Amino acid sequence: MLAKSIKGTSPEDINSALRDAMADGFRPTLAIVFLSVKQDRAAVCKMFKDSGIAVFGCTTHGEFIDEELGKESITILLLDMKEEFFWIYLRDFPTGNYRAATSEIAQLAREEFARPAFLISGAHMSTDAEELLKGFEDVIGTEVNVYGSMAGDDMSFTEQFVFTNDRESNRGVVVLALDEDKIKIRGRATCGWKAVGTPKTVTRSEGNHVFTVDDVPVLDLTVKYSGFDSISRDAAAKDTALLIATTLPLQLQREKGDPIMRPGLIVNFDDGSFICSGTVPQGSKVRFSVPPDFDVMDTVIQQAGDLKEKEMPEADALVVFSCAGRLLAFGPMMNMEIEGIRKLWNVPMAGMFSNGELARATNGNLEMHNLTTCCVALKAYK
Amino acid sequence: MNPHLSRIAELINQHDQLSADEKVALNKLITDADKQWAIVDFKLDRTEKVKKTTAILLEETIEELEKKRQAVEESKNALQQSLEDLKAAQAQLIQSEKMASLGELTAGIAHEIQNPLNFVNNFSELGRELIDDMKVAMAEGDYQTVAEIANDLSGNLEKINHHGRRADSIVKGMLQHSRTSSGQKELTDINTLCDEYLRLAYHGIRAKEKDFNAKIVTEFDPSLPKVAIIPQDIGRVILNLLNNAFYAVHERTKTTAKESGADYQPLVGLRTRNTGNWVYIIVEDNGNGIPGIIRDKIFQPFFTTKPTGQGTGLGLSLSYDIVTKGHGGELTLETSEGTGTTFSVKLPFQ
Repeated sequence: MLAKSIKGTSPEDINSALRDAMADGFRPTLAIVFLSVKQDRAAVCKMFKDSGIAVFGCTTHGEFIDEELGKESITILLLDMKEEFFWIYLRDFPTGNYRAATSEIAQLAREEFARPAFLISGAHMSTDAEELLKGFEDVIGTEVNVYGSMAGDDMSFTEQFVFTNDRESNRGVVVLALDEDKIKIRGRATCGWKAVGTPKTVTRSEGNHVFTVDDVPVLDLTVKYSGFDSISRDAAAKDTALLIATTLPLQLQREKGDPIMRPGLIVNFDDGSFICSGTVPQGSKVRFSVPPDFDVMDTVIQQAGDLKEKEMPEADALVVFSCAGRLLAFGPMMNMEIEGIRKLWNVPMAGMFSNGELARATNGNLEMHNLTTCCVALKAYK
Repeated sequence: MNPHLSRIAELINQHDQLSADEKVALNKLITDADKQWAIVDFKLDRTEKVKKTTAILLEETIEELEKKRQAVEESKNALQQSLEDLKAAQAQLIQSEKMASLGELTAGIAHEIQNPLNFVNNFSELGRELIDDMKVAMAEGDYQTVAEIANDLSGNLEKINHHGRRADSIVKGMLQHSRTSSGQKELTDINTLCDEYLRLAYHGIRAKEKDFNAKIVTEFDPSLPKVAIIPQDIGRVILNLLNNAFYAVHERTKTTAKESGADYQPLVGLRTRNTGNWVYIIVEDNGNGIPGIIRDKIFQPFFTTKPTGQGTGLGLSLSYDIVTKGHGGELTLETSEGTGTTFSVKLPFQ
């Protein structure tokens, strides 16, 4: 399978890059599109539709195809995957019917492929992404390969989109179903955030909505640890509050398996609660966590190297989902991690900064992660 | 770009004496320096933020740890107090068990004391009669008879003294049994100890169970040297094992009596044996034996098969501790339902 990655700052740039990419006879069938919410999605999608190329796309907090990280731009991974090897679905979940939506998609995919695997992206901040994953597990089983991300919106945390050629959704999921007998897909998420302080108890929560920890509104507690004396609860403080929530994330402690990150993604000023990206059960133990030392980027690269060595020695293309929180934590050094991963396989890559990553950590279950970098390698069987 | 670096770049680009290549090279260096500057600046800022958070959390962690340390300290003190209470209760329990077994012995002891007392009474009565005879002989001037009576009196007084000492030793033994163990080991003749406690136990059960009857077989190894033991403790063990054996054969006698045509001869044996390194005290009976399901429990404290009020359930448990923990020995049993039970106390010479 041939792959090429292109980037640009406008649909026109992309049109030009696409022509250049196809100049040597390369005929892509699939475009994995990561773009800024400010870009003209409709124009990009139409362009690909006109070229007979299927689109799997989502908006991002930033996008990249190499060490130069894009901002408010468009990056695309083009693949000449045989059309019978993949299928793209888009479903809305307006009533929070996350599990039912992906369950239905999994049913359809199983009618097409004996062993389907999935690349997915979800939109809307309040989505309980683990419910999305459970929908796939309900139909295919717990060993199903699902990788993906939650869409971003240039750090405005207001409205995100997932899209394909003819449709888009701001509260839905786009799914690229792959025939795993034809396309090998493997990925791994690595985090590295360090828990600090003593375990605390979630005293009130509903699903992914956390109200109080140790009987204190979770926002107040987080603000206290961030070093601020207090924070005004008005619109002007929104960015500060969100920054605090994402840079001092909760880490959910579990009886089995490694702890999992649960940063607040939406801050409710009325009651000081957070809506997190995944479930935080009432009564569970959480710890606050701080960004790791900068050498954790080496760990991420080592983990990707381990994936290459043990499961995916060769790849045709690479997709990388990295949490926007990492971008905030590693700033100008973030590109070192991206470039380190790219060099491992040295194949075309497209990546995005996301609101959440969906994958397995080492020896872990299929889960919704945060503050991880998840690299996914693709390879067509010969 | 950093304003200082930006100014330097401007100056370089305006400099006429630098070649184009040199300007490109210098500009690249400035760009790289700007990147490094940005990274260092970012690292510093982040480190400051993390430091602040870590300090707050660390302070809180230390406070929580201190609270936990205090809670652990309080728990430790409470546990220490409980342990002391437990030890006191245990000591009280052991003493109660001793007194209970002493109560069981009362009849045996009374019987044992009665014998020398009878001798003392009889010989003292006889002595009075002899003195009366002596007075008569003296009045008659029969000094030959007086001398003979005096000799008899002397012999009687010696016997009175002997039986008085015997009663004295029984009372001392009883007191020793009831006293809290000193924990001091002393060289003891195990055969004599066994004999004494066998008598006490036998008379004890006879006094309690009027219809008790059993053949007692003893076999004391004459080669047994004196062994360093705590005599009152090992005495209690022997007594407990014998009491159990007597109870077992008596129970079987009662059961068998209800069955027509049954022929049962109750038998209790007490043997000692010297194997060179070890001394064995073996108590055996041909009672009903111990059922398999309770065999593992009989050394547990408060386990008893006797009806309520008849056993504390501490006898075998304490015996086990005395033999194993107190003397470094072993207390084992062999039992067969319907055949009987053998308890073996194995004691080291040292």
